[in-house]
This record gives sequence, structure tokens and C-alpha cells, in this order.
Amino acid sequence: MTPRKSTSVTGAPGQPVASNSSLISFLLNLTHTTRSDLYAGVQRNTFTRAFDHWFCAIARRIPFWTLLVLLILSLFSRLWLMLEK
Amino acid sequence: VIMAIISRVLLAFLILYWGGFALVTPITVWDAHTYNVARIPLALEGGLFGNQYWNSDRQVANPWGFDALHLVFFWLGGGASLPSYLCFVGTLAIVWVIVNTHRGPNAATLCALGMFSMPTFVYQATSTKNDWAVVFGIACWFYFLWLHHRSTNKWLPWGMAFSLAFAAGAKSFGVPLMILAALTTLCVLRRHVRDAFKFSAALLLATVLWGSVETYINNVFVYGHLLGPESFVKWHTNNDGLRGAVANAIRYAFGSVNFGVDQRDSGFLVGQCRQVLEVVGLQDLGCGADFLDLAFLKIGWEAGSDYGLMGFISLVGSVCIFLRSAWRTTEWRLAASGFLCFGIVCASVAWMPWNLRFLMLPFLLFLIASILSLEAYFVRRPGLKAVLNLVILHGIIVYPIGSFNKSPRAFWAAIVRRENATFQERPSMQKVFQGVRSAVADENMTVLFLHAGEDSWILPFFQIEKLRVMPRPHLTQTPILTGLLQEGESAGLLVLNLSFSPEEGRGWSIYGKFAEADSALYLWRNPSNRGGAPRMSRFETSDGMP
Repeated sequence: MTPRKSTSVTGAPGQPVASNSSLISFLLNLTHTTRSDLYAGVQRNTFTRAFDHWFCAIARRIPFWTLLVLLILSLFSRLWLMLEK
Repeated sequence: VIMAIISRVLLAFLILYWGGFALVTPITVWDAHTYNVARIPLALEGGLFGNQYWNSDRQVANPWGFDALHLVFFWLGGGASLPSYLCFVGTLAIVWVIVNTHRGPNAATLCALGMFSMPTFVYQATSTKNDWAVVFGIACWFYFLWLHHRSTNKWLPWGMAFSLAFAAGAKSFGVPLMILAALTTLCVLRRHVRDAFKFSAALLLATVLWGSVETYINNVFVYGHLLGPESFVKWHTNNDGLRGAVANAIRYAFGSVNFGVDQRDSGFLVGQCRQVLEVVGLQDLGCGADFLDLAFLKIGWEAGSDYGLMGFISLVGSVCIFLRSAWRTTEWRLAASGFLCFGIVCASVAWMPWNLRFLMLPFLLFLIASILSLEAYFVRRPGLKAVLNLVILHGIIVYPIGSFNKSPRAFWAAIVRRENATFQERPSMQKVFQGVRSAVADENMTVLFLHAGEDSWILPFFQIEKLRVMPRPHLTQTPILTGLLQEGESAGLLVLNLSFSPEEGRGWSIYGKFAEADSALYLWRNPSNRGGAPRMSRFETSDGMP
């Protein structure tokens, strides 16, 4: 799964946290935690990672499509109401 | 990890639950029944320019970029709240994507849940009001600007322009926001001259296409004023300058105070607000004489709610961020932008008990600023996060349950008792509606002349099957019915909220008088029903008007 971009505290955005401590490194890589997750103080499991991935993918598209649909509906409706008579 | 799972499941559930609510709920809100959506059937009868069928200045004067798009839902006969809900979900998606990118998915999910915990956000999202359209337009503009900042794309300036025009066309309050946002865009794009030029050209085009310019032109023809009748404009705007704006800010601030309990018509807050206004000598400023007697409704419907406990915390938090946080931080900028929008509302719009909805954009900014600030403390103080989660959970559950027309019971009623749900806000109109429907069934009434007053609920009558509704607000004489009726059919004259009755001796008989003020249904039976009187061949009024 592709990690999302995120503003890290110290590390590279979206990259799993690297640590000198092998235990911490193991745990963080196990849950694929990014710096942004550490920022919020919560690690993510498979479900939340999958949810975030798909929700992010959908959420990126929602504004475009919603705006497009509403603009088309608005233009069509106004023209219809003005010109039908 | 468990909290992260719960928050995601809750977010998915809330999006689906309120989406279902928006899909099935009928049109319930006063504004839609009188003008927002009610203007559609009137425009279908007489267009926009030169239309003689309007019965309310609001149907003519207000921009209709968002109202008009309910035409498809008017034809479909349902789902009219979906456009507002799409605007809400679109804004939520933008918030989620941007916060996720900068602060991670947990903060983004918390912001999204925070939006669901604010009652006015959710109630407006499941209604036909145009306030979310303005917020969504501005949010889209910011999203495109943000994307442009990350990587330029030739279509993004077009997107910014179209978003702003959409916001301006939805509500006249969107116009000052559009101007401010356009200036900001030009400032941000000053090093991308080509994009700035493209944005300017696109904004001009988009304003013509989606800025509802035609309603302003019509206003000049009808009223001689861009925004509508002068008395109407004066009633809705702050006419007292800076002092009026400060008075309004005090009223809105007190109106936003929420302790998380039932505060219906909160007398305590009203008393405290009055005292503060008297101390600073601003009690008569910022609103019309009709509203000097303060009222904070907090009754759980679209225009009569506040932003809940989370909104109150966000407002207080943003004051602290604005006063104490370092400049140039994201939180400070969000809070400052929120207060700028708050100031624009206070300075331009007259305070009214149902105008807290104008503050959706400021409160969205306050919410994000506060949650991002609190998130920074969570690592060191996990107890705080639990409190915040509880506050958000409280807002998500408690307010809708106590709501006037957005409770789970209302959801069920929207499916099984749709008519009751429709008229819940004005029950006296239900009897009128039932009277008309029974006349259609029992008397074979196929034509209804609708003579309605300024604040009448006219929309439901246009949705009755097998009934042609003919609005005729300017006729004062009894019509002589002809060609409109087939053998065995009747015509009705519904007088709503007007002291009017048809002339005697013209064949009208009273069918029903209603508890709704000055409302009655008269019936005109085709003479051919009563022994073969010849049918007339044309329709005219006794004063000769066609």
C-alpha cells in the first residue's frame, strides 16, 4: 500500500518512521506508522490504513465531481426556467 | 488503535446515515415552501423576466444559482436535500484531504467528526437551504488554490473561478466573499501572471454563467435596485456601520454559547446579552426594530440552532489562538480567517434569530483551528483527547435526538408519514393541503387558482398529482372559467393568508375554511355538471384580463 504524503515532525513525508531502537523500529514498521500518526499519538492497523487510503482516494475526487454536477444542474435549470417560456 | 478504528467506522456510518436522511426527507423548511424551492414552479409558469406570478419578494429578489438547481428534484418529487448534502460532503472531503496531508489521517478524521457534531452544519446539510453552497464554493476555491500551490495545473484557475461564481450565485452574501477571495487569489498568483490572467478571465465568464446575474438585472427592472425592494434590503442589512457590527458580534457570540444541554429559548443567555449590549450602549443597533427583543431559538431545526458544545469550544479556542498563538502558524491563520468572515457577516447582515447559519464558514475555520491546536497537545496529554472525543460524540448523538425535525424519529416519519413530516414546521398548512387534496378526489377538481400572501407555503400544492395550479396573485376579480375544464371537472380558488373572497354570483361556493390565517378554498363546479349549461370557450376574468 502506498503511504500517503504527510508533514512529518522530523522525517520525510509519508515515510515509515526509522528509528535506532530495533523494538520501536519493528513495531512502527509492523503497523506502518508514519510521522503524521506519531504526531497524533495513535498507531494505525490494517483496517484504518485501508480506510484512510480509500477514503483519501475518494475524497480527492469528491469536490471536483460535486462541483461539476452542481454547476451543470444550476446552468441547465436556470436556462430552462428562463427560456422555456 | 481501537479509537482510530471506531472513529473511521463512525465517520463512514455518519456519512451514510445522513446521506440516507437527505435522500428520503421531504422538504420541511419554511423558506423552501415559501421561496427557495417554491420559486421553481412559479418560474415554470412565467419564467424569470416579466413574471406576474410571484407572491413574495424573496422569490424575485434573491439570487437563484442554487435554488434553481432543485428543478430536477422538483420534477422527481423527492431527494431535494441532496444538493446541500453533496455540498456538505464535498466540504468535508476537502477538509479531510488537506488536514490529512498536513497533520495525518487521525486529525483529519477528528475534524470530519467535529463537523458532524455541529447541529447547524448537519441540519443545513439535510435541508434545501443555500448556505452550504456558499461554504462549499469557498472551500472548493481554497482547495484548488492549495492544489495550485503544490503543483500547477492549467485547469486549476478555472476551477477557482467557477467555485467562486457558484458561491456568489447561491446567495448574495457570497458576493463579498467572492470579491475577497478573488483579490486573495490575484495576490497569491502574482508570480504566475499567466494563471492570474486565466483566473481573471475565467471569473468574468463564470460570473455571467453561474453568478445569478439575471436575478440582479431582473431586480433593477422590477424594483429599480440591484438587491430587491429598498425596504427588503434595509431590513436584511446592518444599517448602523461599525457600531452595528459590534452589536451583532455580541449577539452572535452569546447566541453561540452552548453548554451541551437543552437551552431552548435560553432566557439566561438573552438576559446576559441584553445587559452587555446596554452596558456598551449598542442595544438598538445592528438589527431591525422587529428583532430588538432578543431571542436565541436553539430549537433544533435548520435555522434555529447553534453550533453545539463543539462550536462553542471552537469559538473560545479560536479567540485564544488569535490572541495568544504565534503569527504565521496554520492555526492562527485559520482563526484569523474565521474572524474575518465573522466580521463580514456582522458588518453586512442584520442580526436575526435565525441568522446563525450565516456563520457556517467562520465556525468551520474555528473548528479546524481548534482541533489542530488541541491535536498538538494530545501526545503529551492523552486525557485531553478523550475529553474532546466525548464532546464530539455528545454533539453527534445528543443534538439530533433532541432535534425538532432531524431526529431518528423524523427519519422514520419521512418514510412512513411523509405528509406529517412535511408540515411539521407549520401544521396548520396540513389541513389546507388535505382540503385541496380531498377536493381533487371528491369534486374532481383539476384546476386550482392560487391566490397567496407574502409568507404562504405554496410549494406543496404544486406537487399534488392531477391538479394544475395556476398562480394568479394580481387578479382581484372573480374568474369566469371556460375551456380549462372538461365535463365533470371543477376548479378551485385557494386563498392563502389574504383577506380576499371571490365576488358573489360568479358561481364560487365555499368548500372549506381553515385554521391557517385568512385561508379558504372555494369551488367552482362546471355548469355542465349540473344540467348541461353550455361550456364557455375561453378563459377570462370579469375585468377582462386574460
